[in-house]
Amino acid sequence: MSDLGARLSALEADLPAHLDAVREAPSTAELAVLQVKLMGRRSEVSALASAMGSADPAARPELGRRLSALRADLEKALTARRQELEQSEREARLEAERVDLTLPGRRRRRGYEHLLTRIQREVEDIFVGLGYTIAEGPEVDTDWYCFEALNIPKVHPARSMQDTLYVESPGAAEEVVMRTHTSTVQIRTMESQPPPVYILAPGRTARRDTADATHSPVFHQFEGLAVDRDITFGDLAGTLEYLARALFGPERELRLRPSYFPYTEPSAEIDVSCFICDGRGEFDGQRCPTCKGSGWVEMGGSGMVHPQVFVNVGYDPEEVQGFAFGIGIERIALLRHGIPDLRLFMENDLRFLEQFR
Amino acid sequence: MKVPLGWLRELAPSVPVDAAAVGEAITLLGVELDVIETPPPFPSGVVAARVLEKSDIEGARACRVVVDAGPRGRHEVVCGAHNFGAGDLLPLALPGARLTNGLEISRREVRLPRGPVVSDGMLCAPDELGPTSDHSGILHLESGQPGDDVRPLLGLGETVLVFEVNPNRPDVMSMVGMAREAVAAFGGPLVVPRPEAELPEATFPIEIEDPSLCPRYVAVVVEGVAIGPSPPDIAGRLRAAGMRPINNVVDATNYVLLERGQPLHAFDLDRLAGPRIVVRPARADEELVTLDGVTRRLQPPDLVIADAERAVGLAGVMGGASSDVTDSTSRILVESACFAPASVLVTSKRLGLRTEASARFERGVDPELTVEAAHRAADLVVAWAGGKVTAVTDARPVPFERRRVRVRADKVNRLLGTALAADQQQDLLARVDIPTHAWEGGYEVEVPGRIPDMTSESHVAEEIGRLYGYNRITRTLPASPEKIGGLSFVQRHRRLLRDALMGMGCTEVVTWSFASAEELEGCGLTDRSAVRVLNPLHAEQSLLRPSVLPGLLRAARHNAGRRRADLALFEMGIVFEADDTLLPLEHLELGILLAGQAETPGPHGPARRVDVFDVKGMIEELADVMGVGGLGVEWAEVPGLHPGQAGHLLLDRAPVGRLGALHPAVAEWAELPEGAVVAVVDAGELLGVEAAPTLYAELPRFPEADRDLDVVVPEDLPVGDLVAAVREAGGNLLRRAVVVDVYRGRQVREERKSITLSLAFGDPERTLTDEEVTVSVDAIVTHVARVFGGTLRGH
Repeated sequence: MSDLGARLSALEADLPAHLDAVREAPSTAELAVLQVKLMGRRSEVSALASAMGSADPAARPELGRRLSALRADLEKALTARRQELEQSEREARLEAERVDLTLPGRRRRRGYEHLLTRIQREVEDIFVGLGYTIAEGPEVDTDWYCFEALNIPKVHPARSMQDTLYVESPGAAEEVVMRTHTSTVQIRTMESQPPPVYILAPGRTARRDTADATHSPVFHQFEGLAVDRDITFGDLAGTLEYLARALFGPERELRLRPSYFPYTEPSAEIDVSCFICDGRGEFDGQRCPTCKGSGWVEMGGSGMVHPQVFVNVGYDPEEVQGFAFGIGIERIALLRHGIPDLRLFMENDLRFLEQFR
Repeated sequence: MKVPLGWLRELAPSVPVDAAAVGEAITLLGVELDVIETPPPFPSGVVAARVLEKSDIEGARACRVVVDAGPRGRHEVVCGAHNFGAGDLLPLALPGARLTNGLEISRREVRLPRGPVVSDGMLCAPDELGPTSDHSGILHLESGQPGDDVRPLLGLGETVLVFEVNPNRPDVMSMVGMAREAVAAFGGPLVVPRPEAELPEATFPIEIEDPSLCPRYVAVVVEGVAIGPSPPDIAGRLRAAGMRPINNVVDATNYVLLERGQPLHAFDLDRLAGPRIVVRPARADEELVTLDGVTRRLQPPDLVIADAERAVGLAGVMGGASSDVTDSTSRILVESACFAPASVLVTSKRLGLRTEASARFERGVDPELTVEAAHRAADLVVAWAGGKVTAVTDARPVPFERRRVRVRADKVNRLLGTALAADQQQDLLARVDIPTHAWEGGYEVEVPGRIPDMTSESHVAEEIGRLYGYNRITRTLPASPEKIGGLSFVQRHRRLLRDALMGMGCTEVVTWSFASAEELEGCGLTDRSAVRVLNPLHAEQSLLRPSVLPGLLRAARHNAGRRRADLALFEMGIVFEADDTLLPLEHLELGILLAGQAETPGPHGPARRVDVFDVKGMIEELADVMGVGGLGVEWAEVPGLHPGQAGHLLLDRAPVGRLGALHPAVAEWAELPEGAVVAVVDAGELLGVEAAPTLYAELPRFPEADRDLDVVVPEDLPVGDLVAAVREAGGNLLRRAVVVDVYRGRQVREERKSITLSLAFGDPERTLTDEEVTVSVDAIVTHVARVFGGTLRGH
């Protein structure tokens, strides 16, 4: 028993040295070795703890208390040092993991929507908001839908206004054309449903042209059609004014100019105040190149649906009235984004496409 | 339509001198101003002056002339020419004047043999004033007063407004018509010169074979004309309006054409066989040499004017060379007629011969004008060329009657969105001389002949709208509650498809709807079912595209040629297929092209070239986004694609497209680097169908057991077949089987490969025991061994 007491006393005498060793352990790894040595299964502390059962029962409480105190001191020191070392080692690791944040980010390649699609989507959304649906029709259509039903008979000066591409058809019963406008869709829609009709018909059209800065054999447009009991020319003007401001900004003015289209009466050309010179006709002291000094740019054609067109689709012109308008999507793009050449749209140069985010 | 402002203001004196204001006002009435031609600055300071005295200078060729320039004073000048005398009106360049050639005139001393003489100005020859090289003598002025600026007298220095006239406005194809518009805008009187000639009783025989093609033909015979130049101010005016002065007779007809819009023709009566004029359809292959010297082969129903023997003019288009007015002409016949617009349009189109006359006839010439224009022309011929009207015929097989259109004032208001009382509407119409009459339901419009297409209330509404002012009408939005906007399922899913593609890094391109046979061949397609364009302008437009592939390759080539070879492009557009239906079939096709590096190479890792699995992965992901199941790929030889790296895309086993690496021959033809991959899919199939909303599926409550399986199989076994077999053998407990590695090398025998599959087993109702999983795996292994001779790696 005295032997047990003597061993404990010796351990207690060594305690300050052990505590120093713990406090000075240089790394968590060495601290772990030290912990095994001081407190592990083969350590003197463990040996004393297991020998405690053979101690004199009278002395046992006192010896037990002293051993516990000693273990607590050691454990406390070990824990404190471990925490210290872990802290500093993590800091060192984090420091070592420093990266150069000025390197570019790892980006996934993104795609760009073609400007023409984007504008078409924009216009669709504007009209969906106004209560229209989006109507579609074939890009190749019959002479009836492209001309006759629209009150453009064969021998009519208006036909010489549009140079049409004709397409081979097996029947040859009727001439088949690449549609020169999406007005074909107004006829198809009215033929297929009773009024009221509120549609926007965007799409691809074609003319017999050579591609240059201002001509394109293929182009895109949208046609709007509203047919109801009491649609007025004032409704047409109000709708177009809303469109012009939605597309070009709230400060834009709309001007309608009397014109001629066989399928509308009254007919009007759509002008929007020039957004380059703000309608002044002058820009940087020069004649404005966009509106050629007039202060207005032409956007397309419009008018009240011609009564004959209603008759052609089986509507009663006494019962319904309507307006229609057609505007080129390329035209909007050219004007709004200052694009100088129509060919850019079909060339698909990425340096061009990626400009429009 | 060229409108000299001075002429316009003569007909409509209240019109302002500000050309831009005039142009704008008329534009807003519906005749669009194209451009304003402003006069050149020279000559300036040249005025009309009357010769008071002319005397020779002793010892010199020149003469001394005293002229009176009215308010600009008396001037004494020395002149080298002698072609004038006292009383003549001549152009005098005052000191300070500048001539067309830039010469500046000053008061100067002329040194003559007998001493210096002061010359206080200069008399001008034609070439010093206008665009001519005539320097034969001093120009004589036919009109004007001393002191007048000579420019308007000579048609120089006129401001000209050029308008674009829509096909529905024959009424403004004349100066009087334009003046009527100007009066509607600015008010004031319309001053139209009325014919004064007293007309004889005598007539000239005229026959009209088909009155529907020529409802009226007026002929006026003038005898004793002296052909010569027109008065210079008239010649100037014609020039300003865009016509070339010819001689006093032809100019008179052209002047009336411009003033009234009635095309006229003057025949040399002595060169006509007759006396007779016959209006008839051409005989088959009848020949006529037109005024421009071209021999025209005619066909019925071309309408001709003939004399007793042969065609002498192409009705409404151009006169014949055999009977035109020459310097020796003394008897003329002036034709003023009314021809059917369609007939003139067809003939002028077929012959490619468009003239001032045909441009007017094809739009419709006012049938009320025929007689008055003929008389006006006779007046001008007599005034400018002398002679006497000896015969007049008005052949009028179809009398013109003014149409009456009944108009309900409230219908006009309902169309326009206005609140104009009937009398306000009638007042507006009166501003352009459209008479109206009382009618109990509103009013009745008496339609003048100059507005042939005014047949309906809506046309009257248009007239009222433009006269009231389109932009004064209150702007509203349609008020109907019955309209509900929205996109259809297909439209929404098309947007979704585009968005998904852009999210995957693909940029949209838009290409032509056309293709050429050569181009199709180049990219391995056939033109067999391509739709032919009947009248292409260029070979590249001869077919409608049967696929978006040629366009994609075009876009890729364009960019590759500009150092942009790493590409991810797509196009979604309509393609065409010939069919035995009236219209060709149209399909929405999606094409994807990838080339170069799959990711932008950078500091974070190496680049990787795209391969066929990039494009396959995109299609798989798109199908997932669109909710389309049952997608598969079947190895196939696809023309234009790499024979070992291409196949058909299947949807529920039906082909819906193709994908693969471009065949090197196609890549070479398209000038693309090798290794580009493409997919072409029927986009309609990819859009899916509108389905009921997805119902929630309970999340697995019991853990799944994972096993990895390495199977060694023959080299030529498609992995897809192995996976299908594993799925089949795995039964219900196998939740997933994913290929994680394919290994060929030292650890497996030759002509074999090792496939690593990651398998997941599970049951929604319980946790599987280790034993159950092992039984499933064993079943898979046994099946694979039996079907493919596959073995476990390491066994």
